[in-house]
Amino acid sequence: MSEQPDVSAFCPKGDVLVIAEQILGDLQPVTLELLGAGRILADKMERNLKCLVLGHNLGDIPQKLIEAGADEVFVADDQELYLYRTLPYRRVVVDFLESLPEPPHTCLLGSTTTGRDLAPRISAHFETGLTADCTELDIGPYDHKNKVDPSKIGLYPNCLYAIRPSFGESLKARILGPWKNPQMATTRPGVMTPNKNEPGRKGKITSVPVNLQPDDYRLIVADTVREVAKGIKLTEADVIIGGGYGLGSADGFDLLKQLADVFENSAIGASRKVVDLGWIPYQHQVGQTGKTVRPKLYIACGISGAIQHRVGMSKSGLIIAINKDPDSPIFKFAHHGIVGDIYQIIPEMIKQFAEIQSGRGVKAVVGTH
Amino acid sequence: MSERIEYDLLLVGGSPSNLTLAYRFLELAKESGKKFSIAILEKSKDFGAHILSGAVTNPHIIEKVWPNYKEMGFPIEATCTESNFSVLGTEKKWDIPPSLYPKSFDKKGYLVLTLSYVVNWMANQLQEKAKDVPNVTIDLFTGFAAHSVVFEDGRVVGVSVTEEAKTEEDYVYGKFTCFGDKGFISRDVIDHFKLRDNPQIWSVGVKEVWQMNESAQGKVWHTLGWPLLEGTFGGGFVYGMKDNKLTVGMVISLDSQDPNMNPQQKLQEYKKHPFIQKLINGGKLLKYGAAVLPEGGYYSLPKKFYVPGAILLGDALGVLDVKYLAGIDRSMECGYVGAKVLHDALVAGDTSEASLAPYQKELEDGFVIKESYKNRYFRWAFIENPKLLGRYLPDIAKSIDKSNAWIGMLKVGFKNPLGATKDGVRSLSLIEGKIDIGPIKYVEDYKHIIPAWVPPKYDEPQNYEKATIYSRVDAVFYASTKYHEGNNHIDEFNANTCVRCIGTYEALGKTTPCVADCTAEVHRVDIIDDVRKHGMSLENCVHCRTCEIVCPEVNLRVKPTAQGSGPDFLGL
Amino acid sequence: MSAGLNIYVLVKQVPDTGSKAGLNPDGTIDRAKAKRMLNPFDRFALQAALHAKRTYGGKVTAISMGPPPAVEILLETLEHGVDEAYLLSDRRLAASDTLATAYALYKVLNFIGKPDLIFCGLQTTDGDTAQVGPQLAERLGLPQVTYCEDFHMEDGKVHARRIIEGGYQKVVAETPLLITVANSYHPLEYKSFRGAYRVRRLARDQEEMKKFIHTIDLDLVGADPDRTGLKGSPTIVAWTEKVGELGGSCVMHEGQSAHELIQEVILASALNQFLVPSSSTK
Repeated sequence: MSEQPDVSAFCPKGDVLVIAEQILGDLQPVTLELLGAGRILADKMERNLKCLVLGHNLGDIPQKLIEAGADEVFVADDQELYLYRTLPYRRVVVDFLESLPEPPHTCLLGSTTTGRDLAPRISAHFETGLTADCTELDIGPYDHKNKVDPSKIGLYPNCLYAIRPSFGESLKARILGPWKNPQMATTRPGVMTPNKNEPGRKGKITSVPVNLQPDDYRLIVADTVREVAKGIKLTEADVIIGGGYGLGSADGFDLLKQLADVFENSAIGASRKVVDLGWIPYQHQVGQTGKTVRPKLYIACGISGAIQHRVGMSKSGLIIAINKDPDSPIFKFAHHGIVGDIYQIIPEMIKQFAEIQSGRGVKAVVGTH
Repeated sequence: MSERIEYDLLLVGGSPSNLTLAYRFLELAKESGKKFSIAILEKSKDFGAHILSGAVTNPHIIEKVWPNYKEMGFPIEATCTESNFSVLGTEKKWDIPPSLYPKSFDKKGYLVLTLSYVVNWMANQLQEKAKDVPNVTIDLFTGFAAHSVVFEDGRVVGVSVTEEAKTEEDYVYGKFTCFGDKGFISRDVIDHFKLRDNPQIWSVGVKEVWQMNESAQGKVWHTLGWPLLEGTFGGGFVYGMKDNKLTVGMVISLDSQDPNMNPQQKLQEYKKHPFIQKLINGGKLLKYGAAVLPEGGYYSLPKKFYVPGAILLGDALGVLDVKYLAGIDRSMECGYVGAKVLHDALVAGDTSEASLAPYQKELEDGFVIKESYKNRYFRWAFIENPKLLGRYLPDIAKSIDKSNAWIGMLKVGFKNPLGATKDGVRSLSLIEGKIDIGPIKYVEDYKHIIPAWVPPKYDEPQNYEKATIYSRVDAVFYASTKYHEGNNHIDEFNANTCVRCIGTYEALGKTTPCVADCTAEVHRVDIIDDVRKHGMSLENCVHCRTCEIVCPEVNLRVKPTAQGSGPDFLGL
Repeated sequence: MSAGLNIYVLVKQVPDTGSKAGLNPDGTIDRAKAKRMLNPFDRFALQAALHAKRTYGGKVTAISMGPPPAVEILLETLEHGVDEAYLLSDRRLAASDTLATAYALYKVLNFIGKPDLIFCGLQTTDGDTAQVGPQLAERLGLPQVTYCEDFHMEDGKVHARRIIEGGYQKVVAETPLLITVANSYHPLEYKSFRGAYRVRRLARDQEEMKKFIHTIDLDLVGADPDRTGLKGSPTIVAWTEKVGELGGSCVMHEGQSAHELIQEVILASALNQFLVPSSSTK
């Protein structure tokens, strides 16, 4: 059994496929990011970047996908696909993949409520590997030596490296599954870098047949509601902008609200002291309460970081603190501390964040290398 | 549809008394071989998580229950090798020569303990022991409080384990119920059977544990004086423990005249003293907590220690001895005695009230009540003669700072040539238990409050490290409180009463006592529609009950917490 | 009372995130060293399952997969009111990825009965993938509602509200159905005294315990061992690297213009990952 298997058979050809996501005709930004990441992977292997989009009356979306980097776009257009539903989408994707002469090498979806709903169904159907919520993707070799399954031993030249934080995010794990294509991954929205848009870029647009089965109608969507109001509960917010005594007055919260509006799923928090002062209603108090608040990002503005405040926020993912006083206790606790005046720092932040959102501005590359 | 849950013994509270009772009961049951069932209800998530004590204790009862306790891994922080009784001025400290203070303050050879660890250890021992006694089933229910007492036909038959009991489904029954709680629930038994003529009076203990750079293991200090120089009964304690840990705490009576006596801040003032500063500077605060202690002693004991279907133990009974600074051994002894009485009664199949009479008799014949009787006037002496703490002690403290405590003591004599001899002698005799003045009558602690009280001015220690001092809201962090959503464990009976009370105190330039005296930043004043109302941040509560005791309107009630909520005192 | 719903809830024992758990050389978690707890996300699934039982009648069965100590969390589910539990425990399951896990659970469900409703937590705190639920639904050929934050039943159908980006969807689904429950669903109610009492009685009587907590293995459920464990997993953790402790080591930014400070912070903290490009909803 020591003989090495012919590994060239494992990572044969196959392109990189991105499954696009649109909601009510809105192409989701994560799709553009996936095309950015997918382009790099495809170029590394000298393969094509393909994109499958499902929906109804998709208008110029296929062309947009080409301009965002896809070489070929497959369009499944059917009124039954107007709204995302697991089973019909699953049916179309499975049929599409089975119709290909060979499976794609890599298949990428966004780590959204849709992508995380659909991708596991596809992976389970094809019994292929899927890595969730990646923050980096790459292609590289892998020398597998584990003897548990001798048939898998070997040096694999082109593997998808699906890289994701794991276990409380203090570890990064590189997850590989080169034995079967497509190698699947979902990526965290906002992480990958989209390609530069190329207006007028040419590519092939191919229609995909839609053949739904009676079983696919076991779930119907009664209503889709997109909430415009920013009534996000603190406990559910991904981003919390916290304000403290350092704001100087209740008016400071207006500025914080502007900052919060930059983010999706954000909420305003406040320290106990300013709640007591009546600057903001009680339900905004963060810190030591019965609830655990665990935003992915916490920006503490003018909060000194009384210990009971710190414990309440200790589950936050990334903590950025802004305070005039370099000795403020909040800096013992934050990941990044900005020493400065809130009224200078925050407007600048809002400005630069807006630049990033419009595709300009500085941007740390945490996506594909 | 569902069955009635009944145990032979239903133990309310994972206290040293109840855990001793259960352990001793297992030993007796092993001998008798009879079948029994026991349940222990502990409101905190883990045994020990809601218990806090100094603690320095005489190991005699521990030895009696676990003769080889040291080999069994009993958690000992230190054995006291150096015992000091000192008076603090604002800058200096005077160690009183051993010949001048009561022997009860000498703690050499006693054990320094972290009571939460001890209780946790006892619960583990109990589970180990239970494996050895298959004829007894013992169920430990942590995270379940007894929320009310169930009476039937003039008998305690069990407790409710839900906050709003509706049906029998919510009850747990016991042939005998043993109350080892701190009064959260046993007071209902005492009230129901009208067992008390004299109210219980209380102190609050506030305590911090510090990680130091050096070891003070085995050193014990009890102090009078700073920062209690305005007449309030109480003092400080500093215990050196293993692993370079240090306990710093204060016990302060809640019969203070000061409506704004903030125990946590008193402890901070205590820590500003150079003597404490030297110990903790450069160290790290590990834990903070607070708990009340029943200190009425003999005259606050209920008339009966048992009622039909139940016995009272430990703090539920009120066996703590202030003169000896001893409660743990006395509580454990209650359990030890109780186990035998209950075992005998159950073996005889006699669950009558009379079957419990030997419980009281044995305690009265033993050291617990005998010493309590001997020291019955100790606490009273300071109430009867406010000058002891209001004038003499400050005078001595001042002279300590001027480097001669002896002169201070003489001055006490000179200034009051007659008084000092007359009431001084009487006070000393009461303290030493040499005279009998018959029964005494306490009044409830809150009645001592003087709303317009003006505190005397004293110099404060000046040179202290700011980083060693904690605001109340910061200190709460170190009590690791955690409450479930919807927690509502303090009742305010009448909101208008609170509005009136707040108005009364604020008109005098004071803060209302519950807000001022809270050990944990729970009570607050909210302005709602321009009215100043009482509000509570219950999520901060360390469950000490000070607010209830000092409320001048008797308008608050602290109930047992539900769902395992509350502070985490493990390590205190 | 009619037969009622056959409700299953899938639970997992995970390392207590409050404690520092080690990793095996192969990148999987060293479960022996870690303190353990019920996956916090599963608490919402458990609440949903118990709610369904209390409101519509039926029976709740908890299923877990893991080494023998995982029985602790099954006992915990019984304290909360679960009727019966199964633990799939088999050495050959070690190092299963989500696909292999979903396969094993699929075999368990086929073995123990016909479900009406299957509840899963949204994801686990140790794996964080949110994949097992949908992969299991695929194996079972069932419709699914993921990110479910509320539901009720009407005429035998499940009316559910599921989260989508920036809003929610109302869906109506037939049973049998698999639901993954979001953590915005109602939090798990506190365990009942009677549940705790029942568990303590079971713990004393191994025979009685076996009637309610069944430990089963791959052979019993007829699973192909080659499709589980490392062998049956299409993915492996090739390697891991530490990215450093969070908290306690603040990177300070000071002494420059606000403009430079913010640029520096964005680059150093990858703040841009939280920013959704403006082409989305606004």
